[in-house]
Amino acid sequence: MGALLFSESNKDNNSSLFCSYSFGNSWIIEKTKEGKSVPLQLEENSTLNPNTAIHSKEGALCQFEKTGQIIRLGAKSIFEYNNTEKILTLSRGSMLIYQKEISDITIRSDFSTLRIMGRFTAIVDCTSNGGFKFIPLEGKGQIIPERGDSKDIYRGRLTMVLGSPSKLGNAYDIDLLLLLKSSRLINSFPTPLPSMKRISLSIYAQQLRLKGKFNALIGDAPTDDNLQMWAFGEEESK
Amino acid sequence: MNMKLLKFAALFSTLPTLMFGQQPDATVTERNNQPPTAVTSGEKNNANVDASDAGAQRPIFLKTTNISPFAGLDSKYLYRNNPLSAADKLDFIETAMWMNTAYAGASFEAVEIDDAVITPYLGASYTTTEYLESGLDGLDFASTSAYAMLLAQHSSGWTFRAGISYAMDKSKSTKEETYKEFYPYIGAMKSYAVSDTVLGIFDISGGQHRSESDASGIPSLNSTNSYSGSKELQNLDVIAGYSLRFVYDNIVVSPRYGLVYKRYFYGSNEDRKDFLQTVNLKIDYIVNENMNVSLFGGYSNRDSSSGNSSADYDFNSADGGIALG
Repeated sequence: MGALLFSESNKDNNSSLFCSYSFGNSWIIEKTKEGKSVPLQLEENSTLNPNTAIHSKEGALCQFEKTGQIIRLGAKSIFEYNNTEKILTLSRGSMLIYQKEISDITIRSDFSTLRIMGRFTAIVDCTSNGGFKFIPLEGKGQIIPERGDSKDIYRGRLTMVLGSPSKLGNAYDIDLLLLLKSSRLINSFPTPLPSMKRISLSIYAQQLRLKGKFNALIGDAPTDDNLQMWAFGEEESK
Repeated sequence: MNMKLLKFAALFSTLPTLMFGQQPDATVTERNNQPPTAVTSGEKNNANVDASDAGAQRPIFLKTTNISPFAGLDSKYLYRNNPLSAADKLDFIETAMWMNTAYAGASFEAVEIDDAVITPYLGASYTTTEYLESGLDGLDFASTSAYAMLLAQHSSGWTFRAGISYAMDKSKSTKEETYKEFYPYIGAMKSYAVSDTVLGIFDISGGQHRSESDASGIPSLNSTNSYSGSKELQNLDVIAGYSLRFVYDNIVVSPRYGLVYKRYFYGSNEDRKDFLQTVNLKIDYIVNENMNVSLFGGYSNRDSSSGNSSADYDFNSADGGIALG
């Protein structure tokens, strides 16, 4: 499973993503004029052009930036983007998103699509059913599915995005502090996210309202009707 | 009856009355009129999981009500070498003390704005202070406190607070109020991780003690606490402190250094300026989420300009004890 992260960038290039960090093996799949795929190893300071896919291998991490946006890609992820329509496509893996200014972007997986209007930092985690989990860490705005009602972005609330045309599935409040401590997308990069202070504030706000934690971890969603839960003990109340 | 016995009987019968004038110094009396300054998580190391790319997703459940009440009891048994804040060591009356506090309060729905979370608090407490040294029991008193506060946690890591508290002391012997005050205040606190197990906390606050104190003018044994005007103890203060929290499993060791500057304006205290330094050490053993056992000790030193009065307000005092709460 992989992950993608967006955050503020100081780079001036408005159309292409600039690779500001790469760890491990990741490959850019360029297409020749004849339509052949040519893999090129991703290097720091290289550019990821629109409609060009990147594959990150096991253990790999990479970060792309452009003005007002940073995208962090986790291991075993496949990602590409379309600047014209502001579409970020994550076919596999996971990503975390930070958008500095209020904007209107669309996230796509194999089967599902979610439009997001707002300013936010969020993690996107693909599931086996072709959809994805959308986990905002901080921010304000709305998530708008292809069918059904839109919802406000609420920090720490994991929302399943299912099917095509896509709808919002079940939502779960999750432990942001644990997510923060255990996420490679947040912790395994040389520079902290620009929104780190706001994420800390989200954790504080969640702690104020925290009543208890389930001794379980949310896993993959193999089908739209199933969500894996890994139990590890009795319910803990606070 | 033997004259010696008569003299002793007279002394014991009048001692409580004499002690009424020699009240504990209300400006350094501990009162639980300070609301909580930060929210801490009771979580230990249960978040120590292997890293994944997206991160571990543990479901939680949130409070459904907008009010979070809290209540508790604290008991302290301590020794203090100068409970009456006497300037002269010859006037020190060492004593054991017993302090019991019941408190209750509530936080209300937090308001989340762009870069801050603001939480309103209301609370109250009742504390009894008993002197266990024979002859000082006439000074036993009870303190009632209440507060209303807004606490703003800013994304910069600073915590700001503003509020007003009320405190009142009542003598257990005479059942009369000896001191009361309203205390509007503002404060700021910044905590940061010094290392994985050490937290550094800087705190600064200031306010106005709008107090009314015992103006009966009863002569006291050392005269330093004989109030001649009800506003004598009104003062502005600025308090700054730095503390460290060393966390070792269930044990938390917290040394703290504090500075207090006070300026008085009325009566014989006009132009009086106090400079108080305190050093404290507290060792908490966390029994469970609801109970701590603590060992504590401290030293205080006050340097006072004395204002219009010829009285000497300088003092030093040391204490140590055990607390359960």
